[in-house]
Amino acid sequence: MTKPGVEPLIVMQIVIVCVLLTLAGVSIFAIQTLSDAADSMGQGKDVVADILPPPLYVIEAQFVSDDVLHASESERAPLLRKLQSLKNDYDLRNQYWEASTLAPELKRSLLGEQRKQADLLWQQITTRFVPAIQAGDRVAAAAAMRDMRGYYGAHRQAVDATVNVAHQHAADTKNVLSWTSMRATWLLVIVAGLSCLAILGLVIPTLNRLYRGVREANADLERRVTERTAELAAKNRELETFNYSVSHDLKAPLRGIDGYSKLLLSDYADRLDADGRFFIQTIRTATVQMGRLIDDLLAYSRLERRSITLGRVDPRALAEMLVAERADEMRERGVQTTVNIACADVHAEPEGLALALRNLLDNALKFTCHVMEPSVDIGGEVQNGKCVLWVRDNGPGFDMQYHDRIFEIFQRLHRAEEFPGTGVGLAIVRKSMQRMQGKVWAQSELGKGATFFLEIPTMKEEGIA
Amino acid sequence: MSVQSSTTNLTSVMPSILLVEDNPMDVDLTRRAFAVRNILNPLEVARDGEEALEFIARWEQGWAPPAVVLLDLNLPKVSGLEVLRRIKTHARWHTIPIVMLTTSGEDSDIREAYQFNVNSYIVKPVSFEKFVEVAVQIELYWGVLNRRPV
Repeated sequence: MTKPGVEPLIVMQIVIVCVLLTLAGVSIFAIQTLSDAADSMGQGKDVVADILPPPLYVIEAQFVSDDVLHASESERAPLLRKLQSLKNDYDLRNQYWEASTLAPELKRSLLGEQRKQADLLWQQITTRFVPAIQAGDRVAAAAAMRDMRGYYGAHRQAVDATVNVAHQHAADTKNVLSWTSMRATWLLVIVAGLSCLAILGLVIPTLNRLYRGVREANADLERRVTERTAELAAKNRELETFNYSVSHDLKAPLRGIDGYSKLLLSDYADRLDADGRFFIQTIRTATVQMGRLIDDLLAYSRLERRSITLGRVDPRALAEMLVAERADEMRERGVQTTVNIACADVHAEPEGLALALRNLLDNALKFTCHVMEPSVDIGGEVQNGKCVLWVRDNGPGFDMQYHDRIFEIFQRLHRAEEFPGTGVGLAIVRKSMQRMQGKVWAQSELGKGATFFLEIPTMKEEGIA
Repeated sequence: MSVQSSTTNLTSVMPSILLVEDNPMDVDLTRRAFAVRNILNPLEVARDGEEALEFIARWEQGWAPPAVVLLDLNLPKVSGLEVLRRIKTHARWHTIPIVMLTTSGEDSDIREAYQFNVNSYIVKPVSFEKFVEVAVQIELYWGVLNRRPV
């Protein structure tokens, strides 16, 4: 027999943990990649939105410069301040982009040619245009303005280039994103496939092996139970055979004792005195008692050996038949008897139930033999779906503390000279009831008679009726 | 091998009874039980199964077959059931009535005996008085009342 070891289980657990960890790792990696790509794409968008402000500063500076050229003396100062402010904003913006993690090609375009042209424009404004204005030299200012327009045009071209680069970057990012998502999907598919293979290749055989192990263990257990049962049955048969032959072998010498003591008593009566006759009589009484004991023992062991056949029994008819069997004895002794059974047919072993009820009836008759007005009542009714029969006598009864002992074999509560018996009768009752899934118990009080109950499954309860 | 027989009187009017019994006490008690009631059938005795089978040979030689065979179950050498089977399957002697007279009242023993076509099955009582009754009834029925093929 192969024993299902611990190792396969541990390997299986490790595989499952590995698979789960791999899946978790792949998922985290994929999410990370996607979120990076999303960041990058977001920044690309930002750039496109942001590329415009620097040109806006520049465009506005161009317009403000135009205004400055045509403004009166009093209007000029706020416009120049505005111009200075635009320059400051433009510088701040550039500083921001310089420090940003913007894609290099975008940075190059944004802070390269585009800025160079813008810087040249600003240089014209600060070094030529504004000083000319402040000096009141309109001609010089107009000349600077013309140069500024040249730089402005170049700047606009650079801006267009940057926009192109930004668009290209956005398209690239999108490609990376879809490539990454595809890669992550494939990775997941591959890992999931490998996991399935691992499960198919390792976990399932392991489970199969374990299942086989359990099944084998089960079969082994069953086989052992069968073997043991067979052994027990063989032992039981051996014991029964022993019981049987011992009982029979005991009877043969008993017949000799009885026969020869009887012959002695009948053929040699004149040569025996009263004592001698009494001794022989005692021998014969003992012989009869021993014969009964052996018969009862045989009946008890036969109960064990006989195969059980359950059938339909009418308890009322059975009780009436048993009472009829004892009718002569009861009439002689003046025993009052009633049979009042309100049970339909029961599911029992006919002989076994007759044996039990007959033993209880004999018991009741025996224990009422010293009673002035002996009465034995047999009754029955359905209780909890089972038929409960009882045999009630007005004999001496017994102390309930001995209740369980009276059903044990060879257990007697009375001296033989009070009530003869072998102590096997109630044991036979209990055994025959056990054989048909029935029960026996008694209710009594010293001096107040005894009632013995039998509980038997009904046909209805067994679903046969 | 000696075959015990009491009053082996072949010309006797009363047919004999063959008792197959290994217990000498039982043999003696049977004899006495018959004597108590003045049963006149001669009693022949086989002390084990083998001796019982020897009687078949004797019948072949012209000895008168018994009115009935009283057969114990537990016998030395050849068992009672085997003796029963051998007589009951015999082409000529299967008509001889056989009564099991044994201590065993086991269902299985009774069933088996009847499977081998026993004519009757009687449980030997322990009480001598009852045993005498049984002996008388057997003799009366099988020795007197019962008619056999000639």
